[in-house]
Amino acid sequence: MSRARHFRILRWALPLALSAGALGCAGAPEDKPATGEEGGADGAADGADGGDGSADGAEGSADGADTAPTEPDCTTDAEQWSEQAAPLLAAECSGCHQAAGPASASRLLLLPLSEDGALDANLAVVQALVAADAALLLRKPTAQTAHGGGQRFDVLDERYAVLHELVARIGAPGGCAHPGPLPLRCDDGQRHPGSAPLRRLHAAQAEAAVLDAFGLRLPVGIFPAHATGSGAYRTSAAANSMSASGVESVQLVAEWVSQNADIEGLLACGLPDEAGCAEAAIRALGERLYRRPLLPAEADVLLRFLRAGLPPAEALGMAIEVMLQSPQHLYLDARPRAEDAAEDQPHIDDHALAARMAAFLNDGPPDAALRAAAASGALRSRAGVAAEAARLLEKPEAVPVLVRFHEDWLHLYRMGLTPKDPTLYPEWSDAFEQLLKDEQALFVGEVVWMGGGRFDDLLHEPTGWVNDELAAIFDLPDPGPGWARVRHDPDWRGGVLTRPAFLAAHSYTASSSPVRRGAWVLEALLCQDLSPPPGVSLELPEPSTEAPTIRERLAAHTADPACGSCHDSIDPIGLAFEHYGAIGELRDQWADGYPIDATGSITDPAGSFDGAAELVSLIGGTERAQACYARRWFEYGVGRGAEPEDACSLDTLAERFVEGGGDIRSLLIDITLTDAFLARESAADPADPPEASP
Amino acid sequence: MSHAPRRGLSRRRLFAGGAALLSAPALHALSARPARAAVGLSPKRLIVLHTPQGCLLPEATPIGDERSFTLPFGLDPLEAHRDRLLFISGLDNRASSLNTVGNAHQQANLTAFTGQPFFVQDTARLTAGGPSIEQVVAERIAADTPFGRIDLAIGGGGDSAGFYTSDRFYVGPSDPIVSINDPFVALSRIFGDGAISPADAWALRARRASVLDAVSDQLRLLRPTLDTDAKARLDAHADKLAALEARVVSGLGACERPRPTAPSGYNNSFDDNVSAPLMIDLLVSAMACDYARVGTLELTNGHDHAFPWLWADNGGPIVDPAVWDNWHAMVHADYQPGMEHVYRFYMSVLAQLLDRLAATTDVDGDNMLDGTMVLWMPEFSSGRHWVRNIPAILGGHLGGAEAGRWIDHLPLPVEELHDRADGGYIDGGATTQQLFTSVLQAFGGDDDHFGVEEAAAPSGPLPGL
Repeated sequence: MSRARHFRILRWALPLALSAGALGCAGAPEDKPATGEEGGADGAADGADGGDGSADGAEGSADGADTAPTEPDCTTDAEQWSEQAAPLLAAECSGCHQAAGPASASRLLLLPLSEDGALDANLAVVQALVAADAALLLRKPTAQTAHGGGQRFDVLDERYAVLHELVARIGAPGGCAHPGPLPLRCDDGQRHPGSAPLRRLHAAQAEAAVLDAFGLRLPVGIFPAHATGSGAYRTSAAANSMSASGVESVQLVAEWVSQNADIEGLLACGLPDEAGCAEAAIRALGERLYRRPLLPAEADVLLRFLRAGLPPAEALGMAIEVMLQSPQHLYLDARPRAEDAAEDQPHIDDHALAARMAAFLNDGPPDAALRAAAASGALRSRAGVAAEAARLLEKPEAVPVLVRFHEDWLHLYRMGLTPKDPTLYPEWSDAFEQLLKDEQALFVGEVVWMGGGRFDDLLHEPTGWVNDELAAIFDLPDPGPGWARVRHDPDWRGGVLTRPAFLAAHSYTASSSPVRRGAWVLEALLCQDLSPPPGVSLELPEPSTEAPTIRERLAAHTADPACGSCHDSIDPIGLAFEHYGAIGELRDQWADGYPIDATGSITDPAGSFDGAAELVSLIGGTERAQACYARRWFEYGVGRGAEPEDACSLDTLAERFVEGGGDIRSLLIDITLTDAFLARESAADPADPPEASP
Repeated sequence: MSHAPRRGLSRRRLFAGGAALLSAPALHALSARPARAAVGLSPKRLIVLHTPQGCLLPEATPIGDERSFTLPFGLDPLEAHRDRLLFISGLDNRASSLNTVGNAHQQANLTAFTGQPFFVQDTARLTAGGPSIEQVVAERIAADTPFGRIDLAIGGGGDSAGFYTSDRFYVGPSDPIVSINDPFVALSRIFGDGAISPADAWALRARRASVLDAVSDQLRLLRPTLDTDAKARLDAHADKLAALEARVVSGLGACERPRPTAPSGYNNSFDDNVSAPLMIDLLVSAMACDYARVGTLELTNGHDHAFPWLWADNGGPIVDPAVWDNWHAMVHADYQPGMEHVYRFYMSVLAQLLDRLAATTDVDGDNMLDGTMVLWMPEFSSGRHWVRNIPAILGGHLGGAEAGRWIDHLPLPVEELHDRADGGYIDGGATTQQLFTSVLQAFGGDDDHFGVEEAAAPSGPLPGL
């Protein structure tokens, strides 16, 4: 990938005379504030007070600029501002952040550098902004905070480093170099794992654990479901909080298992007494359900009923209920530190890593081979992790993982929120909704995963499955009983985005929703943050004689610049899907009889299109879409949103995904090798995971 | 939340010797609850009713003055109760506007009852900044009841098992309330399995108490090794385990089990008109037995819903699909004919709740409405995302405030305010936080504020109460 950050020398420096009043180098190191942090607070406060354009923080050093000897190794604050930061802001921000621009109401209102005094005035604006919120200038352009202008660059970019230095210098003025901590670098020899929130198992994982340990299939729905409201992934820690009713649901799950488990069989283990069998079963089940060897104190708790003299069958049943309700079972990575463990282990232990891998790639507990690999130390090398990951991906349990990720990524839960109008779509029902999910699952699992397994297949492959109920949507003849494998017309039905499940999920009850479809493409497929600015109406004007069709109503909406900043991108994309109705049926006219116009063009990536197939070809081929898809999988795998510290991992993932031709299997293996997957937060030891010793 | 033990009996005594040795009288003694005074200065209970997509302000505002007013069409279902009610106009949710990320719905929803901006201003980690008002009340008045609080949702958006994750009510950051949106699931969760014999029930409670005690011990082994974030998550889990264990130990006490019935074809996700009376019945029945002293009823259908039971009143569909993509789109566009029927339906739900409370006697022999504070509040004052000038209604026990009044803090006459395009930005005369402060004071608290503190904002209790 060609990355802007690879160039080292900045070319924005304009031949502007250094404004004497702006910023200067105080020169002598002893003039610097005692600590970066204190200086930061003071400097920022000063900047806020100096509302007259020449901020106090800069004033003291202005004299210094005239008198201090220019040291060859010293880049003064003034130089950093005038040669690097100011031109960067002019190039990247002032297109919108200017009096006549769409961001004219923001706190970052810049003058063109060609205007007299612009350098000083812009500095004062930036200082005030930094004083109000030191991180805003860094978070906005990198889209960590909602930004109307989208992401200008990422945190690894040289431009980010320039702003990072500017903010640091405003906080601690007077130095010759970047004060305080430097921005993230990928080649610093450090691990960058980001945060590791405590993640509860989701329902499918809990069901798999019960199947694995007891051979029992939990009734569907009794384990607490993840929250879907925000569109979060089911693996996300945020979607799996433990509510009061959830705790009770888990209690009922545990009791269901203890009532249905083969207690008699477990007690007839061949040992002379049932108590011995009960203890053996408790220890074995405990290791299986906690996904690691038990600590002695944990075993004591599980064995207390047996030791208190309860009948073995009852003691075993109660121990099973304890295990299934314990956080050791319910949360990944839940491991008390052994007494002899190092204070701060640099990466998670073998068993926790195995549990993460099995949860990610199989939605289940580690199998025997993975447990053996963990016990033997085979997971201490990257090659060992990769080999086990590749093996897990060959198991049938990997297929539902693919299906669930895509169900979450495509926000198919929205189908349940928009039941279709029965007068227009009499076929719609809960069962029909499930049918659309099944069709999608067959496509993702059977066609993509068992087929080419590439990102391209996901977006374009025209092979699919239909049954008698879905044939009409696809304009195909009734295939008779059961599902039939078919080849659709690739101009109309290729890939996940022209399938009924996605199209129905991103529709209203009676009509398609170009806005919902377009917004999904931008957010989920291109990773663009679309949080609308406060106070902006998100809805369309009603149809009128001037604006009878959806296209014209959208145009009226986006005439408002506040709306246009997002809708200029959303609407053309969404309108490309207009040949598909509210349940994804093909159509060539809008309901009011106007012929459908699905043409459009966008600027990033630049191109024009007629219809969804062409749009998907335009977008799907970009590095941006592939990097975004890799990022979404990474987030699914680590159970949280991507954080700034993940930038190096995400870069590597994207680069390898693109170079590898969009191979999904390789991507999933690569994710298990990222710092976030392998390491704990605040690793003390910067070394790589140690290679296995012979 | 406190992790202090909730009862005198050692957990160890319950499991020691096992279920078989546990005697019935021991459990019965645990069930006894402290005697309380009859209806007093403070309400005994709080019920919060929330309805979505704001309101139609002129239809939610009395006409007249403080003591002499008539109710508009949208409020007329409350006519019979007006002498027990306080109508409040002009409350600003200022916390919503302190957010810098998220869309207008997220900003309003997550702050409506918490009075605080998001926990962090980060779209990837949106969660409430703190507990919502009824949770604070529950921690103060309901800890010695079996459930503490009971949360029921009317409408869809839940999971297949009948649970709905709220984005209005929070125990704390990252700890949303999960309500039950299926009345039959609520019945079994609150009133248990009606078929179990008393002896079996005792044995089950003893076993559960022992098991939960061991689970808590496992949890304690884990806690010291976790980082701050993980500890917070685990502590939230521990609190709920402790509450469940306390309920198992104390038992529920005798209570008449409601017998909800629903017409065939009933769909709990959409038939709000059927769900509302069923849920109200379950909540009031449970609270009458002192199973909980705080309850929430949250209507959740605010987007793609047709409200067919109101079509007859309206003379046709409420949301015309040829004009509006959905209900959400319709309410965004100022007043549209038909909208008033939906907002009036919400007031009829409030009236049903008041009726049911008034017709019920609690465990102390008191009339339920006399001892219960009822609070209704939407998240907006208009479907146009307005977070200024929100209306609220207090009913039942008002903590000493005089009922039958309209407390008007609107800055402009309601029609004028409603018609202004910038109406959503004009500050009202009071804040939702002031209302919540008054609620805390009504429950005996000495609070002088609730939620985030802002120098520019009015503080203290609600003026005029």
